[in-house]
Amino acid sequence: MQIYLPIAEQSMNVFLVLGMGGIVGFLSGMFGVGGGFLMTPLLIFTGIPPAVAVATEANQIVASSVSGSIAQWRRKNVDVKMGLVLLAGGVVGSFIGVALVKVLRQMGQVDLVISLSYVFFLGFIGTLMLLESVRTYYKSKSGNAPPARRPGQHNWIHKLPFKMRFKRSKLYISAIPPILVGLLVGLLAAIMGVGGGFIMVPAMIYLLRMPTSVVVGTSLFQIVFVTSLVTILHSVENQTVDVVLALMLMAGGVIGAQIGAIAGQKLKGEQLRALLALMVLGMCFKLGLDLVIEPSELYSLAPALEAH
Amino acid sequence: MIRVLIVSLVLLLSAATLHLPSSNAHAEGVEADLATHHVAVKTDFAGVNVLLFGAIVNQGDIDNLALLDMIIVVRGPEREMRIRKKERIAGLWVNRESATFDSVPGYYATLSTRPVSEIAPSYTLLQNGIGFTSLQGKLILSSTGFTQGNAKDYAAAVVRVHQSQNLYQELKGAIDFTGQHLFRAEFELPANVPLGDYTADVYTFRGGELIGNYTTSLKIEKSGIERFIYELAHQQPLIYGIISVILALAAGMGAAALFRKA
Repeated sequence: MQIYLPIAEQSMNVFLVLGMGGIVGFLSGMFGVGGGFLMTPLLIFTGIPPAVAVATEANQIVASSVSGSIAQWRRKNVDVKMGLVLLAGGVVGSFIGVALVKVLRQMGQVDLVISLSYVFFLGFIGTLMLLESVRTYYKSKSGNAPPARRPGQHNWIHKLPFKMRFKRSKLYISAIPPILVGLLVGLLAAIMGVGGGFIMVPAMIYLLRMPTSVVVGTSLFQIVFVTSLVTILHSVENQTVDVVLALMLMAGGVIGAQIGAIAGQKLKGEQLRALLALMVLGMCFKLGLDLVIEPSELYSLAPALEAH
Repeated sequence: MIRVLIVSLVLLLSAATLHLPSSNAHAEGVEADLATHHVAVKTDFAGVNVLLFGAIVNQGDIDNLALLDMIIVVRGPEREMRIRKKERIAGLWVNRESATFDSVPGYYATLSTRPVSEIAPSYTLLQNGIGFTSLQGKLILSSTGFTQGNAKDYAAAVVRVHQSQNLYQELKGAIDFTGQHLFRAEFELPANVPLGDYTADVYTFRGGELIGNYTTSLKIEKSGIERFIYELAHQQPLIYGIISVILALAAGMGAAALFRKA
């Protein structure tokens, strides 16, 4: 059964789209990761133009992060002030990112930049995840508990100006690092169609030294607003949000995430996490290979876009 | 209407060949129609085959019939297209040079009784824009931004890329004749077919000479919800974006509520 996607202007198998949404939803439900960095490359592999894949995926992430962020809000796990500072950076990053995508589209380089960003980030995340799971595996075998984290030390961040008090996080730090983190996440959301949790969560823990209890809630809070903004900006500037594709991915994703969350509680995670890491590295490799191997057709065609 | 066509055809031919087609009192011609003139692209659109049928009219000398050839050309809406060529830079294949063709048909299919180059001299084909070779010639004329006189390579690539997407087709022996006068042919519009106005031209040849020509048209449009979404996205992009976000918020919260109950 085929469905015609009005913005991508091509038809796709319904079950393929629902299945992709389901599998990525399953993995994100199981491992508590956002699905953007898995879904966007998958969409590109199935022939969706990269610019459409990115903008559409931003739209899907709005749906997959909103319920989580409301749940965290109810449990008072959101540092609203920190969230707003991150969001301020995120808004700037989104505007820059969407404008960048527009310019790159006119230059014919958007596919390249999206692929390169993915090769870099998938390689980075995949390697980290693989190392982490290998280490935990050997630790559990030798029976040693992982070492306790050292208490927070004063670092260069505390020397920066514009200090603000974040009561919920029990922090008194400069606003510059969270703004920069937010900005980077906004950029990534616009260029890669990801929520950016994989950057933001480690940055909050290791760089800003926020208490882990508020990290997830605060990052989800920022992600909902940033991906919403990115969806609207891409719609206005690039007309690349395919709402039909996004809704089908949401449908598959919601069901997959529920099953994944249940499976995650019952299955032993480490081997599966290693498997996910290998999958991420595999996608990184495939995207990289496509850039390096001489393509069978050197020429590509696109409707001429006027530069404004 | 037909008479006008035939008269203009005769004028065209006389201008082209400097003599009128011989002996026939009534000019020999062709009439044709499409099984449908309107293709609606709906949610389940996955491409469609369109039937073209017609008849040879005012046929004079039946002994001559073996020599009759036919070419049907289906042309899609023309768009300004930018073509880019990849080059290896620092190990990566990157788009470098680019050029613009002002009017590239989004769809181009020829259906013929024999390979078009065997049916008529290249001059006649070029004049009527029949076949990929003529199409490339026409593209080169409408091109801008070429750096090294490489228009020919680019024009060939335009045809090749479209062919690989099944948007340009060359189908030999794809016309079926029933008896002496009737014919039918089917062409495929794939799922990625561009929307807009299409024309189907039927050309008949005898001994390499164009003797008949008939044009009919076809419109491909998005319809229903597909059309609504597309128009909203392009005409009211801000509203479209806001609606997309609201739908996503509703879907996310709705799903959460649903699974909390279950």
